[in-house]
Amino acid sequence: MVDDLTKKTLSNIPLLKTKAGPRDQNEWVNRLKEEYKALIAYVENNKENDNDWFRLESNKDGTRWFGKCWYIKDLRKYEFKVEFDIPITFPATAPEIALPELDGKTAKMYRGGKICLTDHFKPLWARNVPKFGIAHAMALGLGPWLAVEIPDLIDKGLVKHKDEKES
Amino acid sequence: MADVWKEIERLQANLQRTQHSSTKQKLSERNCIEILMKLQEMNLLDVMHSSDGKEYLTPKQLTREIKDELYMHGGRVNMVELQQALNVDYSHIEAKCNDLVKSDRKLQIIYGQIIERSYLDRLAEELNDNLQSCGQLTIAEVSKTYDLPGEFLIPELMARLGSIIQGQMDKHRKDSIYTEAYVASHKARIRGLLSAVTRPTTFQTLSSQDLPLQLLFSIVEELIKEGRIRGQVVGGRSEKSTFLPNIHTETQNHWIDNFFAQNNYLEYDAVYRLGITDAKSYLKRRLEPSKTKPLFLKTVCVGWSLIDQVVASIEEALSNGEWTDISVLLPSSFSSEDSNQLLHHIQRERLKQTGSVPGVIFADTIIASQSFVDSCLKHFDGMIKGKADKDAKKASVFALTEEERKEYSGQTAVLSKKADKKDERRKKAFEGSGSIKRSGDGGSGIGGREVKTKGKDKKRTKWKKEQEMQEDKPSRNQQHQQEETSFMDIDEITDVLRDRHNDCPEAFLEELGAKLHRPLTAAYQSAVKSVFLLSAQQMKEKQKALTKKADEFDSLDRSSYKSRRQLEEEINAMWSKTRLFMEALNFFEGEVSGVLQKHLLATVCTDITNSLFMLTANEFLSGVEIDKEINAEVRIKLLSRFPNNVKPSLTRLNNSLVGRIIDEFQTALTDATSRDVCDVMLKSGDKKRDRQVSHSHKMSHLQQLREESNPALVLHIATLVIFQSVTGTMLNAPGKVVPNIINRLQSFLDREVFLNLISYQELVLKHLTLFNNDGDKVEIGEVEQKLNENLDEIKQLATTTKKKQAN
Repeated sequence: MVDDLTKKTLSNIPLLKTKAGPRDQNEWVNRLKEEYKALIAYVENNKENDNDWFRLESNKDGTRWFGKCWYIKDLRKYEFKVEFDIPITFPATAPEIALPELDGKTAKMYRGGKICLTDHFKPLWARNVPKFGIAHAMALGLGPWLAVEIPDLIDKGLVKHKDEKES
Repeated sequence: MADVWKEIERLQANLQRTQHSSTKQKLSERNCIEILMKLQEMNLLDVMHSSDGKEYLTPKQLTREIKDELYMHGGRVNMVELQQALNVDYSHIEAKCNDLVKSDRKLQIIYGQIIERSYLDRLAEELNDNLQSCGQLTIAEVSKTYDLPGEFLIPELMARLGSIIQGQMDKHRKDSIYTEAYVASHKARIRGLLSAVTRPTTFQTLSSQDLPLQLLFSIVEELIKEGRIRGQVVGGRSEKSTFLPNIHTETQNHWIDNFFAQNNYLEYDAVYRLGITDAKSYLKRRLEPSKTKPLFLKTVCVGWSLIDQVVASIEEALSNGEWTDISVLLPSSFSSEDSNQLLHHIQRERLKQTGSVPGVIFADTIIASQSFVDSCLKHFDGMIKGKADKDAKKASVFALTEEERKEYSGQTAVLSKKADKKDERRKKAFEGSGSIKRSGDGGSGIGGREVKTKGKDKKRTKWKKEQEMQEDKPSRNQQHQQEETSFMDIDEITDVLRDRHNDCPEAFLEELGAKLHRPLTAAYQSAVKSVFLLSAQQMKEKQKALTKKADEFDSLDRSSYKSRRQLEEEINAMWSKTRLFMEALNFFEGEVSGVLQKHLLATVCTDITNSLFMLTANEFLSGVEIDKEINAEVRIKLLSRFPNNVKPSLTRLNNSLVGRIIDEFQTALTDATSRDVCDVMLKSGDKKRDRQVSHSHKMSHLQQLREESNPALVLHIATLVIFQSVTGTMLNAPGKVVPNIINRLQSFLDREVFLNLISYQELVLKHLTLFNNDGDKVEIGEVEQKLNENLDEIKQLATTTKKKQAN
């Protein structure tokens, strides 16, 4: 299940109300607003807890999102690009977050760098439609995935710090 | 729609801004503590944390806080309170406070409290207020009210005395502070009190008002020192001590002096009643230095004039051969113990002076001169004689012996070391018997043995009766029993004395009686002895005249009373004599020897045999009446009834008596007394004892000689004595061999002595022949006269003659 810390984090993210996808013209705007608000709250919360781990922005319509996320291990910051689209069936379907740089480096990833989320994520999301939004996907999907996969990848030498890459 | 998108843009921007805003740097609490500890470890930072761990303080802050708290608490604060108020560990506070006290002279720590000087000043002011209103404050009270130790308070208060505190401290005990006014008022009161007091007053009563004892003492002492009041304090500084006004002591002393001067004695009790506890030592102090030098007895002291008075009357009484009771002379307050003490003292003093008449102390207070006691003894002379005569008629020497034996065995029960003496005495007693028998033989020559046995039994019966009587009187003790058998008991003596001196106190008479008892008993015994000795012959006749019926009467009990031991002793005593007699036989030969041997056999040896028979009869023939006068016939009768194991030996012994040879008897006796026959231990001769036996034998002869007036008997005894003197052996001889003995003595004696004896012997013979042949009466008279004239000479010879000089 989701660990306590994650749960706590989740509780700090405001839940969404509007059930609307990018195809729903007006409603989507409201939904997008809520998404932003949730994200802002989440980021603020992270900053407050010295737990800032990603940057995210969207296109104008809010259908495509991109940015970067990082993980700190052994006093080193490993940064990765992150991107995803809002699926048509959003919010019934969770967005598929992808880390293109890590494509092919780990088994827990689909083609194109989409991360394999845990078995719990999907039912959890499904239960919480439309309350969960992008912020939740980040907190419940990418966050735990990074925490599990990155140290493993670093140990295996599949991921290297950018300083090392240069050298 | 546009504004909606605008809003989204705004939100986008917002998100960007948020994301780009700097992340708050955050340290967990754990990290912070670790960092601080690290810093402290490195001595880079000096802080202390509060006890709940939420705050850190610098030492400077702590100091400030402590000072603030101190101020807040008015200059005095408990460190524990500080700890609670400042929420800092106690050890920090304590250390800090110690530092503070060191650096700041105004501060000090007492019992975990920091106290500022200003606080003490304020306290002193407060105390002063109190003091002015109450007049007195005890340190204990102050200490209790302010919860400060006295040791701390006293110096602090002392320092402020006179400045902040208007008053003075008790100089001796330093436990209270007074105002001058307070002291002055009490002083005045005490002055008044003690000036008025005329009898001893305890300080307890004085201090019953709110005046503290210690102050009271200092005030009283001061007053005494000033001479304002006259008196002294007795008993140190305690509640029990007493103020003795001089006027009281003076009166006391005055009374004591007066009383003593007037009466010449003083009871300690009277002094004690005056309130002087240790009367005796007080009196010693008081009276000793004076000229009178009194004598201190148990409960009174006596002055010399009174003593002199007593001494004078004692002297007077004693020199008159009287007695005096000093209790009459002394005041009634003298206890008998005192009187006794005084009397003994006087007695001692008198003994120091030579030429004073000796006195005897009786019944504590009575002193009697020795001559008075002697005179009392004289009262009994007649009674002793009368009683002795009476007893002697009934009693025999063996009775006496028995009695003595009883007495001595009584003594030996207590003092076993006297055993030897006892033996000696018993032996002497037997010798006495021997000598009596001899005199009997010398006189009439018959019945000696019978007398002895008969008398013995009679006496024993009498003794037994008395014994029974005494048993009826349970109060009589053993001593009494024995004494009573001798003469009179103490009560009787006292009764007699009371008749004579009816003015004497009872106690005196009783003690006098007790004192006289022993000499009287001794006198009585010797009287009995002498009476008996003198009247031996008479007695014999009388006793012979006593009917045999009486004997038979007694004999029922009698045989069993003579114990085996007694008999053995008798046998032994007689045997030792016999042995000594046998030695003398060596000086004679032929017929004379035969005669002597026969005589021995007929006398002592027969006695031995009789005793032996009696012993055997007691042992084997219970219930057999043994006729006291055992003669040959009786012996044979007894023999026939004796068991077979003793029969032959005893028969032989009996037969040897008829023979003429003493040796036969000796062997027969040894045989008969041997273990398997009669089992009588015959003691072998022991030189020392033999000497005693022979000496006493001689002495008894000499005694007899002195009392004898029959010329023939005198000659007989004298001869025997002389024989013993010159040859050193005892002789037992019948009268008829006297001439032979004298002849035998010729060679041992000075011629003169010998001739004297011869001539006297001739006179005796002549007298006898004349008398027997009914000769001329005139001639007989002449011879008798001559005999009587020479009687003393012969007696003299007997005592003085010694072995002839070697020349």
